[in-house]
Amino acid sequence: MSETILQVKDLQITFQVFEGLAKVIDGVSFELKKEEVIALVGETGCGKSLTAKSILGVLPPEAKISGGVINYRNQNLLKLDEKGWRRLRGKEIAMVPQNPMISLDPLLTVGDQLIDLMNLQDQPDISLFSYYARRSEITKERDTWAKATRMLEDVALKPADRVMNSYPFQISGGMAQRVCIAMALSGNPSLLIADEPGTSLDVTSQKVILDLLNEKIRERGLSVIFITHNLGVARQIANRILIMYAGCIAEAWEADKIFREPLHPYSIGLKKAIPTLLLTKMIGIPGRVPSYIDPPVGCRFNTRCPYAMEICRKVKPELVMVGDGHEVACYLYKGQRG
Amino acid sequence: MRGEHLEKKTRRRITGGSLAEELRHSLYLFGKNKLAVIGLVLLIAMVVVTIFAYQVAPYPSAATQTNFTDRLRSPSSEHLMGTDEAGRDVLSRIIIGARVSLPFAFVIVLTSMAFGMPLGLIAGMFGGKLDNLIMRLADIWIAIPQIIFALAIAAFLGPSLINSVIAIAFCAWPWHARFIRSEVLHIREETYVEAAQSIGASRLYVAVREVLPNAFIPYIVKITTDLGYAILLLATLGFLGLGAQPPTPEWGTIAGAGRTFLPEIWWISLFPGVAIFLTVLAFNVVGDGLRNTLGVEEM
Repeated sequence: MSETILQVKDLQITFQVFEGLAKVIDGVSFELKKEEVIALVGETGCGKSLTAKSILGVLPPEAKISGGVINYRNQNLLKLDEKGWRRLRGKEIAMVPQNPMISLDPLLTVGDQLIDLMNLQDQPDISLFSYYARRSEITKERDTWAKATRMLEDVALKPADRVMNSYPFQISGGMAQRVCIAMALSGNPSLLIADEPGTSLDVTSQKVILDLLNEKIRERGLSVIFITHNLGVARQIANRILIMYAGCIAEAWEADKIFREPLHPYSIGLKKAIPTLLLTKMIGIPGRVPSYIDPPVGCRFNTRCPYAMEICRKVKPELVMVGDGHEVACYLYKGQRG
Repeated sequence: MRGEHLEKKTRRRITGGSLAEELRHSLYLFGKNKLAVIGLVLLIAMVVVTIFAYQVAPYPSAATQTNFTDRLRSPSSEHLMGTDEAGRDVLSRIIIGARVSLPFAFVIVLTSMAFGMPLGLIAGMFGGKLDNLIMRLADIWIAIPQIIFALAIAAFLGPSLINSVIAIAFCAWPWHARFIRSEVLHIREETYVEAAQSIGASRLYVAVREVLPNAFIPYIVKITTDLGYAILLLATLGFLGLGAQPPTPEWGTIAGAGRTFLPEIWWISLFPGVAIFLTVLAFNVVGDGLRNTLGVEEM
């Protein structure tokens, strides 16, 4: 549990849009150790997915990384070219997408997609023409069909043969999510990025998917970045939780502890917002995520924070250590260092 | 339109969707558009007539053989559409002429596809300077009226059937490139493309295996209507004397040859015109029907 596998330092991502330059990710830093599961938690639009996509190099074309470093096993990912990225994607870093139903090509059967993936994964430099000329031979040689079937059985998809022959719209959302997990795991990655898996499913299927994912993570000793807006889900699956707000990290601590005693006003608000059976009234955090074109000066949460002080509107708070592995970016706790 | 597509999707999931089931459902959707069904029947009839032209035509030899004793006869039971200035049966010439118009329309569309499709795919997938170069070239092409451009090229190459096919295909590729590019640009943004990339798919794989097949669905509709348009252009060139040369029985050429005898001797020009009209209309309504069946949005 000690080797650092991924290090993100002062990451900044901007979007050039009509209204101006949007500074969406503003100085995100975190480290991920081997076999550690961290959860990025925050409301919609706070930059969780964007952070994850920058680690895979699949940012939308309007986005630009304007500063920072992403080190994966001592290799700066931001200096990679397309070929270098492709060597990493799938085999070192893989992603489980957010919405499985639209993440599979509608015109290819599940089997075709898995087989192409598994055949091409080990030989990224084969020309596509010669691949298609020999596709069935390669599949036979490498016994890919059987391997792909085993892959699907491994994520508890049965009957695997029928799923292999189905088109994505013929299977359920839960099944599609399992297929996506199987695809992400097929290259034996060390780092898995899970972008709100199961969010588009009903609660029961979501629980089953999370259990499955949890099992696979422990089984394979994966390092995981788990993205979710649900603190409860994050606590179930992660060792450490990073609370994100408006493109910055607000607080980071071990999952159980942050859940018990959150310090940042935003984290406290998030915890209060979890619906319970006893409460008759929902409690939310008033206001919304600020505009990224013209974000509030200082702490980006100052427009919604009940404790906002003078300094919060002037200088951006740094993420500081306030206790045993507990980091908070808030002036309320500035004096409690150590 | 989108609703029908979704309806189809959900239905397929419920029924489990065997191939026969699929086909029946597609036919059901297509059948809802009565005009398209009529067009399809007409097209199938035309294809059959084209294949068996020499068996169907009342005077198979009339395609080229002259018979000056029977010249310029008006429509009668013997010659349903009359005879032309060389005594050839107009109906037989139209039937045999279908062997020129229909296959060469396919050749035209396939040729312009062969150039336009890869160029559009490259422009859409790779973007940047290459995209700009290809699309500006296409813009320049499109700025010249297609018929005049085709006429100029056909005149330059010399009037013949093959040259008119080359001329039309040469003028049509930018439309194909534009169409494919616009499809590529939005399919490229689909989640499944991003998902494929995030587990290691190469750009070429995405282009060939994912983007192109998905772009093909709306493309089929365009191709269908394009076939009608190709027939029209081919006939136009023939009519103006820059396409197929007499005595080749091409619809436009026949109509063009009859032009000098108008208006008293109307049958030589009218009937080939009707044939062109019906074919183009049939391709258009079938295209419309396919649009509904395949769930392609109106463009």
